[in-house]
Order: sequence, then structure tokens, then C-alpha cells
Amino acid sequence: MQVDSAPVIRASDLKKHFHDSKRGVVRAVDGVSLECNQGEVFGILGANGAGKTTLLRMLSTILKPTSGTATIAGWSITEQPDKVRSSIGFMSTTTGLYARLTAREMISYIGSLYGMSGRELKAKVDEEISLLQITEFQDRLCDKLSTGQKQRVSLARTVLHDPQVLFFDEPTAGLDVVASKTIMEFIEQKRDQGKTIVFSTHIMSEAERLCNRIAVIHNGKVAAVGTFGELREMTGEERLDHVFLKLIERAEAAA
Amino acid sequence: MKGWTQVWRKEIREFTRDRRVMMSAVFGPLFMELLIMMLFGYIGTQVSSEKAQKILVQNPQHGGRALAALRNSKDQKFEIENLPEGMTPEEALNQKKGRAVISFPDDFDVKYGNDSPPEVKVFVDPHEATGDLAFGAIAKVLGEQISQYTQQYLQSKAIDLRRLVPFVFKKQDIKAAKPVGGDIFASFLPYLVILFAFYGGFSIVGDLVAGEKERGSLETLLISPISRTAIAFGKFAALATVSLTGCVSALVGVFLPGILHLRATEKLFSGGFAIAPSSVFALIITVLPLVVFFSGCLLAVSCYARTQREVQGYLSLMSFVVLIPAVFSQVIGLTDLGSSRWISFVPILNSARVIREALLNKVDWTNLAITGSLGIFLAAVSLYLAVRMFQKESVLLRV
Repeated sequence: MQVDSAPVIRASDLKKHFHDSKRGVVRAVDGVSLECNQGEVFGILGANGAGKTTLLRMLSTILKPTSGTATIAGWSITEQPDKVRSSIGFMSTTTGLYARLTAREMISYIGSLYGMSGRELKAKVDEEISLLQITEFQDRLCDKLSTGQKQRVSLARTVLHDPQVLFFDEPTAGLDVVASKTIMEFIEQKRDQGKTIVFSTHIMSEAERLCNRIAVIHNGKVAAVGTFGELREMTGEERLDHVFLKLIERAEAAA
Repeated sequence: MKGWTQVWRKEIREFTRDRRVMMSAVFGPLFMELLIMMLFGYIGTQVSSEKAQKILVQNPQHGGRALAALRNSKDQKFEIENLPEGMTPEEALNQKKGRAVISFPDDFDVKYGNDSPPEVKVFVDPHEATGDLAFGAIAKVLGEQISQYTQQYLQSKAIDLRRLVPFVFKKQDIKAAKPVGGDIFASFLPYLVILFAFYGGFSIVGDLVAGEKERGSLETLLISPISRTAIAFGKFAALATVSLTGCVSALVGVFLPGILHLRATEKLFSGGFAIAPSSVFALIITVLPLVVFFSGCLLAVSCYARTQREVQGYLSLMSFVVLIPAVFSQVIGLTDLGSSRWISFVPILNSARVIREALLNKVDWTNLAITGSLGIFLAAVSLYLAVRMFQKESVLLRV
């Protein structure tokens, strides 16, 4: 696989602080800077509560950063959020579908939100339905679909507008092996098509299989960034789970 | 605002497939109103029909001319039975043997027309409306007999009755605008219109934003290129459509029997069925802002809540704010408050009054102008609030 060196995602000192009545100021993301290149699968590895989802939500303009900035495909997440949103697709396991729409209606609806209509919309929907093997259940209500079928519909609506950047937030959490395999293969396919993919997970094997580079996040900060080989060198460990734990320990000690 | 129609269309498509919405906004109001109308029609028929009043008589053998007058009355119908032996009037009434018990003293015939007139007692249960009805009918018949006797007596003494009466009076109805259907509409319809403007969207409001938070489908919307204002407006428009459908269904349910001339409700529409264009205009000016106002408030609640269950909790409290003025609006026509200008400045109550005036075909343009303006202002505020809520990430993404 070939990785273009031009950074498609540039984040600079991104911070997101929340005020919590019990815990005071919560620094969910605390000065994250990173770059992702075209055709790269960039992994974000971290324990639960490390700040992965908040980081992805800021990059995808769902949340506004407290400070710092980022650009996606050249668009600023704070200045041009609508342009950013046109350039990205976002999927997580928790992303739901509309129970009373059919699979086809669900995908078409999302397409219409991206400004598609008429023949163009129908052609794109037909294409994704065929590619993701949704044809058989395209007219079934989403409520009646199996988990695997729902995942396919979710994937279709994520890529329908052919975004340059794809965000996957723990996309396989809670899924069985077969459903996970579909998603992993889908990500590989998109990577091979030259899409930039940000993949957040806490499953080491998935990160190892998919990611060109990995950022280890701990307490809202980047503990380390590099290829799997570079991270191994940094820690002197072989297995990724050991690498991860060592980096976390170091980050704790430095804090 | 580009894209709000897509959101609106999708929400409406989902609503049409949701049985709860069809029940709460279409079939519920329609059939409930039809049922209420049938019920009112039945009650109206029963009250106005000349059904015999069942009365019991104690000492009928002494009833003489008074009892004969009751038996032979043409204006009032009575079903007269003797009080069962050994039973007191109180026992008979408590056991619902009759609506009233009339008791003649043993010396009734002897003292009839004497210097010390005999006392006839009419026993009724003060907590039963039927008792009052029966007493009214008895009083009318016996009163006429007393009046006839008095006239005959005065004539026999060569005294002109008119010399004893300082003045006479009688009830004279004025020529007023004909109410829509009948007076009964003006008393309960405003209440129903307001209720359905609020409750029409009740079943789906939880689904609109809080439900999306729960399902995790909100993210999909938030990362689409259409603005949050457009998303919020699309959802608001869908909610307003459902609430308005609830109102219209309720109105159709009320007017349908009048249009179809259903026999069960013909008493309610005995005065005919006509609504003036000014009344239709007043209804539109009042109902539309009301629907917008309620929809904005409901959507703001759905934005704020974390879950659908939380939405229902807030709405239960909010219901009282709507119900109290709505209930008060039902009786306001019976008081002097009904014509006070300040009521035009009380939300919900002012709408109820304008709807009432419209149904009586007596639109007060000043009341309508104040109510309409205030309604539009409040509608704009609630819509603004809902849109603002939808843009606030601390509210929208709180889980």
C-alpha cells in the first residue's frame, strides 16, 4: 500500500475542557497535535475515557474545541465546519439507524442531506446497496435488520457521498467476529482506494492489522505517535498490548 | 436553512408508520370527539325529552285536588306511585325508588282553602340533580293550582288581581349571532382545541431529539453538511405538523356529526351548522401560533432531556401549566372575567377566549389582535429557544 505524504488532517494543540459539577473542569482532550496523510489508516489507541471519542468528535465538528485548531482536507474545523462535514464520513458502533425507515430509505435520506437528489442520488444508493450486498434486505425496515445487516447499512450511509476522510470510532465494539470482519475488510478496501482513515480502538489486534501509524492517547494527551515498529523500539516490547501498557505507565509517571 | 425540508419529510414519513402518532394525532382525537359528541347528544336528548318524573306519594288518599292536578297535568309528565308501606320518604329516596316523595297531611282535604292552609312536603335528595328537576316540575303544577285558586277567590270577592301586582316581567331573548352548532361548543371546544394543540405531538416529541440521543443517530445528523438550525427547524416543523393534525382531527370529529346530520347528535346542531368567515379567520390566527408555541416548547424539552423517559417526566409537569388555564377557560364564560381585557394578555387563556368568541360567531377584533400578536411573539420565542437548545453542545450531547 502506498501512503501519500501530504497531510489531510492537521490538528494543532486541540483542547476540549468540560465543566462538571462534581469533578470541576474535566480536560477530556488536552493539547493534542497530530497529522494524518492521504491513504493512511491512523490509529488512535487508548483506554476507555482516554479522550478518543472527544477527539474524533472535535475533528468531525460535532464538538467545538475549547482551544487549538485542526484542518481536514484543507478546511478549518472551526471556520468552515460545513465544508469539513462534506469531506468526512463518521461511524461508530453506537451510531443507530432510524427504526421506521427501510435500509434504502435510510441511505437515501443521508444522501439527501449531502445535497444529492434525483438520478444522482438513486445511482449512488444503488451502487452502495450493490457493493455492500444490501439488495436482499433493502426494503426491510431498519428495526427488523440483524446486527450485521445494520452495520452494512451504516457503512453505506457513511461513504455514500464519497468522503475523503473517514472516522471510525470503535466500530467493532460489541460486534461478533463475522460483523467485525466485514468492517475490517471495508476499512482496508477504503484505505486501498486512497481514503484517509482515522480509526479509534482499544482492541490491539485490530490496530496492529490496520494502522499505518498509531497515536496512544492517555488522559487526553498524546503519549506517543509512530508506526508499530517505532513504538516497539521506543518501549523495547514486542506485543502491542505490552507496548501500550508501557507507554501508559510512562505517561502516568511523567504526569 | 437549506435542508430542513429533507428532515421534515423524513420525520413525517416515520410518523406515518408509527401507530402511536396515528392514534394520538389522527384517530384518537377524531374518534374521541365523535364519541364525546354522541355522548353529549344522548345527554341533551335525555334532558330535553319529556320523560315522566317518577314520584312517590305518601297518604295518597288525602291528596285530593292537588294529587289530581299532578295526575292530569299536560305540561309535566309524572309517573306516580304510592310510597311503599312501612317505608319513610328518606329510605325511599336513598333506595332510588323515585326522584321525589310528596307527602300529604291527613287533614289536607279538610284544611284545603281554609284560614290555616295545610302543608304539603316534597322530599328530595339535595345531592341529586334529578330531585331538583322533579321538584321544579311539581312546583310548577302545584303553583299553577294555587294561582288559579287565588284568582278565583279574588274574583269571588270582586277584587281585580291586577291591583295586587305592582309590575310584571318576562324573559325576552335578544337577536344575537347564531353560534356554531350550539352553545355547548363554545364551552368545551376551546378546551379541546388547546389540549390537542399540546397533546397532539406528545407521543413523538421524545423520539425527535432525546430518542436520537438514545439511539445514537443524532451524530449522523450532526456531521451532515446541513446546519443545526435547519435540522432543528425540520424537526420543529414535523412536530408542529403533527400537533396541527391533532387539532384539525379534533375539530373534524366535532363538526363531522353536524355536517353528516347524524341522528344521535341532532339535538346539538338543532340551531343549524354555520361558521362565519371571521370566525374561521380568528380560529386560524389563534390556533397556528398556539401550535407553534407548544411545538417549540416541546422540542426544547426534547433537546434538553437525555432520554425519552426524561422527556415524559418533564412533560408531565408541563402539562399542568397547559391544563390549568385550559380548564379555567371552560368556566370563564360563566364569570365577568370572561369580558376583562387583561385576559388577552394571559397565554392559553386568551386563546381559549378567542376560540370561544369565534364559535359564538362574536369575534372581538381587539381581543383577537392582542391574542394573535402575543401568540406570534411567544411562538417566535419558543422556536428561537428550541433552535438555540439544539445548537448548544452542552445540552445536545449531554448523556
